[in-house]
Amino acid sequence: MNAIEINGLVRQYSGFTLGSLDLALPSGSIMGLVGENGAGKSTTIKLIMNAVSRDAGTVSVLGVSNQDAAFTALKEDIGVVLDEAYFPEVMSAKNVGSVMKNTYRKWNGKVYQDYLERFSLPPDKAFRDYSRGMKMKLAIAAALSHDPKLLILDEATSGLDPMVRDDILNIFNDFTRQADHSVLLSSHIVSDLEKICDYIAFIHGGRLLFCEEKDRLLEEYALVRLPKERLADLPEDSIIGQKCSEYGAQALVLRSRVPEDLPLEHTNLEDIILFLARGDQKA
Amino acid sequence: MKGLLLKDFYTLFKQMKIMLLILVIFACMPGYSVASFAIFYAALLPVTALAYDERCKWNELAVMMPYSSRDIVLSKYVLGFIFVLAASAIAAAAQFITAALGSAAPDTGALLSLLLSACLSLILLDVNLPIMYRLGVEKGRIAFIILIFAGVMSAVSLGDRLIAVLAGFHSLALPTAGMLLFTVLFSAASAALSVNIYRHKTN
Amino acid sequence: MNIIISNASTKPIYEQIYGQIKNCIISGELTEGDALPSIRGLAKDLRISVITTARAYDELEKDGFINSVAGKGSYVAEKNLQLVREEQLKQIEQHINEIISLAGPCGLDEEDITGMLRLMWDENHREEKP
Repeated sequence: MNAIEINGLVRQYSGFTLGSLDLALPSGSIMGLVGENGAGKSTTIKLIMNAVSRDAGTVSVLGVSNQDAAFTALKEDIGVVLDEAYFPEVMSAKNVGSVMKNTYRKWNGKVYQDYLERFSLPPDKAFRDYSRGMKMKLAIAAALSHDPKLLILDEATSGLDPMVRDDILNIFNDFTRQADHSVLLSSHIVSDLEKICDYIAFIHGGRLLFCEEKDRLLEEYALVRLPKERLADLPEDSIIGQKCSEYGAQALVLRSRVPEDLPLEHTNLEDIILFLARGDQKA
Repeated sequence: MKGLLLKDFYTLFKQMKIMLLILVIFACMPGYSVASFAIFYAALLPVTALAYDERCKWNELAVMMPYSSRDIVLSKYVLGFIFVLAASAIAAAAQFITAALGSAAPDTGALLSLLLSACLSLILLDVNLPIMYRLGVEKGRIAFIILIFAGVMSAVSLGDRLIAVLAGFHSLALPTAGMLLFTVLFSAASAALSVNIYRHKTN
Repeated sequence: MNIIISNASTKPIYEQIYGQIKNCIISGELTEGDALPSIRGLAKDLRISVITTARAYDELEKDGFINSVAGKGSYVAEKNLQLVREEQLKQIEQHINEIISLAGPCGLDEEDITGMLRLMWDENHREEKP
């Protein structure tokens, strides 16, 4: 079963259209949703949770259509961390725990307590006195403490320092040790996604440019640096994107389509995304 | 819904400790004018809660949680009822205590006026909440202030006239029951309207 | 069992895992019946994608090195001596091909290479004598 299944999803705003989107998150995997700010990542997440209505298409989460009456109860199994909306500013971590205890049937106070300690979050401090990092950590602690099967995170690691980000990524990694646990992680920090994702979905200008296995992407593409004039020597269909400067050119190519003896460099996810997003750039 | 109510309790109690204290003091005042003000204020606390929600974008989070639109909207009405009940109870208790201290029977007229205030204040809330949901708290506030004055004024003036009218009744059970029933029905209608507005607004 | 993944290597990650587990099996570090770590557990411990470890295990099973039992896990298969020998012969052929292709640019011919081989064979075996 797919943890999330999206078919033909469309949502129109004035000046921006999201869709049509077809996307599936296989159960047990971590999918990274990457794209620049304004590409449509947050909108996609809101559409998945039915927080905004759609103009066309279907969405099902954990096997249930998100417009079904049963979807409200299904949210018990979904942990969501948003980028902006948090808890009332006067509430403390302890208060949040009480509210959540009366919200989720499977709320586990001990697990929540353990996360608070692990993240060094003071139990009685008002939310408004939290730093950005602490806010995210509290939101993540709350999302993980009701035994969810699916985690949806919108920019959950932005604004956090590298050590905290690494700790949180480890948590997501461990979360998916169970085969029925899945994660959808939207971020514009591509290096984070490269660390733990199984799949990468790239949204650009409201459209899904690709959704691929991360390791295959890194296997298929490579970077080549060469003099500008030599670009023309490469087979046309091998170049995915190129960048030219005063002193030479860089191209992202498909390993399978370039001559074998061409010296290639490893590429990382960020390069792939940048080349695909920017298309061709001439000096 | 319990979680939503808890959240509002935490928020209101932490943000407005002093105001709530004043509310309790006012409720204990003799007569019914000042006490009525406390009851009206209590009835409109859900609107303040709504304002706090808007400020921290709570609704964006709430929609991700296993709450239906109905739960989210209804919790504000329930909150109003709870606060009005509490304020009225305090005011009524104060009446009984002062009467007992003075070795007199409690003033039925005053008690009835309290009940009237409670019902009117809830009706006021019922008018207010759909407006808030429709326009948002910023714009709704203007209507809010106008209505407060209208509400308090009418309650005070109506109070006198109603006592005169009620004096004509043999038993006060019927008009009292009628008033309560009307309040309940009006609240139900308002809640249904608010839920409808909320459902369409969030998209 | 040590599994070291190198990001700098030209070999895809699944190939690296495949190769290292295979070597463990051939060298005898893992023997018949030994349980391999679960696909998911291994992936999470190595911080790589489950898809990749699954792929490695699929290849290992296809080539007869392991058996997977649904719901239970993967175990080292009966050591197929024939298979091991084939493997090793393949490797020797590969190395010989490399030598031949390197010989050209150096200007060495068949005789030179055979001479070198004899020399080093003797050296190697001389070292082995107690």
